[in-house]
Amino acid sequence: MTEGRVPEGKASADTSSSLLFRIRQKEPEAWTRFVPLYTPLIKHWCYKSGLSEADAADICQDVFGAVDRAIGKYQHDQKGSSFRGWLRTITSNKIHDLFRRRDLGIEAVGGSDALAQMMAVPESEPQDSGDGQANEDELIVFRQAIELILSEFKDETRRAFLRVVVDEASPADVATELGITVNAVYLAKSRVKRRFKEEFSGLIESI
Amino acid sequence: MLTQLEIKPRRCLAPKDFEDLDNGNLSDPELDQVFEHISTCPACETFLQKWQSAPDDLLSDKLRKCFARVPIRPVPALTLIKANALDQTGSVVTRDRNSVAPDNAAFSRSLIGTRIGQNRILEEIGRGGMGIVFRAQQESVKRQVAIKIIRSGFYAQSSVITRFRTEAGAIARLQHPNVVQIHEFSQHEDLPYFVMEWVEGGSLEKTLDNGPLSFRRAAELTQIIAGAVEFAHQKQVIHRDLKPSNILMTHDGVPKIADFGLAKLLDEQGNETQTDMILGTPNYMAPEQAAGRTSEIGPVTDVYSLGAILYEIMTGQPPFKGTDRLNTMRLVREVELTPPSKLQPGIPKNLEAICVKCLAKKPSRRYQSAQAFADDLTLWLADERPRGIPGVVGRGVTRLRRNRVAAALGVICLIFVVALYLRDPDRPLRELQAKLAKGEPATLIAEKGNPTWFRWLEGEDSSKMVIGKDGTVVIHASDRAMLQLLPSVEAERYRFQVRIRHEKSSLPGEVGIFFAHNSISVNDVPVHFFVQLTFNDIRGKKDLPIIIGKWPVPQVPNFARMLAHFYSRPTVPPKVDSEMCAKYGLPFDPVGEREEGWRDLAVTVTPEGITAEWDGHQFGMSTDDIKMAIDREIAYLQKHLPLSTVLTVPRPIYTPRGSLGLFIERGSAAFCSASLIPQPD
Repeated sequence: MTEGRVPEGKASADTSSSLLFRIRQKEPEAWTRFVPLYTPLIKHWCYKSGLSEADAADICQDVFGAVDRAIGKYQHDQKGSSFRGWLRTITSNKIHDLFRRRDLGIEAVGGSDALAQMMAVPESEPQDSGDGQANEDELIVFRQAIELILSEFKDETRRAFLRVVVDEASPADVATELGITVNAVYLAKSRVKRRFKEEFSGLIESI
Repeated sequence: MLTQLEIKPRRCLAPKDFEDLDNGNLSDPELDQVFEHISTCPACETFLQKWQSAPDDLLSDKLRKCFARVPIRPVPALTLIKANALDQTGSVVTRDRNSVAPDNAAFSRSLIGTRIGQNRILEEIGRGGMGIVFRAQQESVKRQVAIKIIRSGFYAQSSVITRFRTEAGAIARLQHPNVVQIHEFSQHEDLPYFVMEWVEGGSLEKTLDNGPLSFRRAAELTQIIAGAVEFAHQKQVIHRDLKPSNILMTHDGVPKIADFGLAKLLDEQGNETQTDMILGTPNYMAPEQAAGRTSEIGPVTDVYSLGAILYEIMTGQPPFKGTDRLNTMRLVREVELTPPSKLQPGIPKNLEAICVKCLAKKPSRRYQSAQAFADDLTLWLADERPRGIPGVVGRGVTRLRRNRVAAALGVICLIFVVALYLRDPDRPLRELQAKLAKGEPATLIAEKGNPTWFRWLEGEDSSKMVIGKDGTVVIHASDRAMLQLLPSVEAERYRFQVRIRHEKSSLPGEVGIFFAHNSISVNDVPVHFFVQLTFNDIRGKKDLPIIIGKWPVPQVPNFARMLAHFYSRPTVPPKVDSEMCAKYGLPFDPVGEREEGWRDLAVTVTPEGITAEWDGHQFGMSTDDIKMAIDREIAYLQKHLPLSTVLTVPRPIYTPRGSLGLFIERGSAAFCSASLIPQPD
């Protein structure tokens, strides 16, 4: 049954390369995958810089616009230029632009807790060399990927999957919890995993 | 693939099949086939249930990792499953609040016992997102102060410093008994800090921990706080983070608003267009703030928070309390308020209605000002029906009939309270200005008592204004003090005269008047330009040099002089203190502080120049003299000041129109008359 395996494609050590490839081909469908996949990460960087939801949403727009324009120039096989690093550079530039605009006289807001994040403006240099930061960023994308996949399934399947895989509960217990058969639990686990691999195979290998 | 299975539909599963099943390598039809078999084959079913995922299952491993890293509070994975998984990705956001904490703890410890400016740091008392607050002892005047200093590692950020300044500037505008006062804004080894009034009793939050307050006390407290908030709004400052922990209490139970770290200054340029961070504490945050609709944030946003404070005082909990920040913000935006009386039976109906009105989701349905809210609380406290709340008129009438005496008393109380409230502090000023507009003389200081109207421009903290034994107003200043008596003179030609007595002073100070004053705010600090006529009527002990610090200062001869002065507080950049165009009067013998030591000082100000009258003779300067002196001084400053200061310093302009008042530098002076007389053109 190995034929059922979804080809790993040209999965690189970073992001879903096939997705990148498709974006470079300007496939509209690839964009509809790409945008929700990376939005939380970009927002995460924005929040770390102390931006509001509204500002973060604006930054996302700017970043995706820039990616769309510049994706042709991005060389994913170039040494030290992971896709996330590249994206991070674009994002931090956009955030700095925003702060610069603010600093030119607009800002009159004091900051409390959120301000602590301001220091965490992502530097324009990607810190993507396997350190905790990169790791965290990757998990954010990964988490979003699984959320996207889970959103395709009904609630029961989602719960069964998370209980068994994430919480490492035994399928028999989960079946009792949710009032479904053990087989249904196995089925849930298997189907969600398959969908994930179909969509985001490139993300799995990269830790 | 399906055909493959169809060929051997009854085959039992091989380990490889279980592996594929576990790893999600099977298509839906394949899965159907597999489970069709398992459901009829106990052997395979048992095998499946004993199957353990391979330990190197990357996908599962990584999934666990990414769920384990869920921020702030670990939540069971199940609760993270949201119907709208796409929208709730906010939960992915890890805001690591503590990432800078260790540095700051060390930084904080390193400051204990050291001196910052004039202040010895005693202990850390709080830490916000932007700064650390310490209790300190101000050594010169032996009083306790609070010092807020930018957190270590944050100071490089210009935007953080700007915000810090904004906070200091906001407080500096708000000289009010119910707002924590700022004494000083300065830098310590490049770290900006400011020194504030020390409030000894802790926060309202702490007070509430000690048990509930009576409803009356709740209303009283909130009413006082609302009054101070209204004052801030009048000064164009929106607090945006009002909550019990930001209300400090004196031992006498007087509330003072603190922490203007999130304040928004409505009159600052460009505010209308900015989309701010979502700031503030979500439990007390207005829905428009929680939704990030910055443009809607205004006075009514603070009214909401005032209502939330009243709510908490009465019920012991904030109006909305979620599992985390995002969750709370959603509740604030979307969920209907639980009426306070549901949580705390016995809350008076009208008081509840006042509270609920503040907490309306729609800003337009709330009280439209903190004052309107305070007014309704005042009415409630006077046992009267609040105006701003919906209700039945008939009931009020019935009650009036039923309890006529009590109601009548209530009305009397109400009149009293309203009368107090109508005593508008700026009313005397308007009366003064009306007189002057008619060309009539105006009395700024009468023979006895306080000035008709006044405002401290400089030196409020280092000065005292008291009524002396003879009933005249006396100002003691240990540093430079400027007390404004009129904020603007709407005339080109006028005469300003005062009767003044220079009283005991061991320091070489001078006293007198200032006029033609205007100021520009730079970094929220006023840079003043004015002309002063001052003198020194007291000679120190003749033979001994005066010791200031380590150094003997030569005796200063007695003098009277008039000069143009360009000045800003020395504690805050830009520091300027330029005396220009000084003209001296004839030498004189001091009268000292004897009873008869009253002196008449007068200036006649016109667009052409100024004439001073002192000790029976006149001297003066022309407008051209002043202009040339300004040119020379600016040229000098540009050569010698750091560029950053030069760029921020405004060029002073002399004009007779401007404010005027009393100038006292290191000394005491009594005043028994001050008046302004408009002169014909």
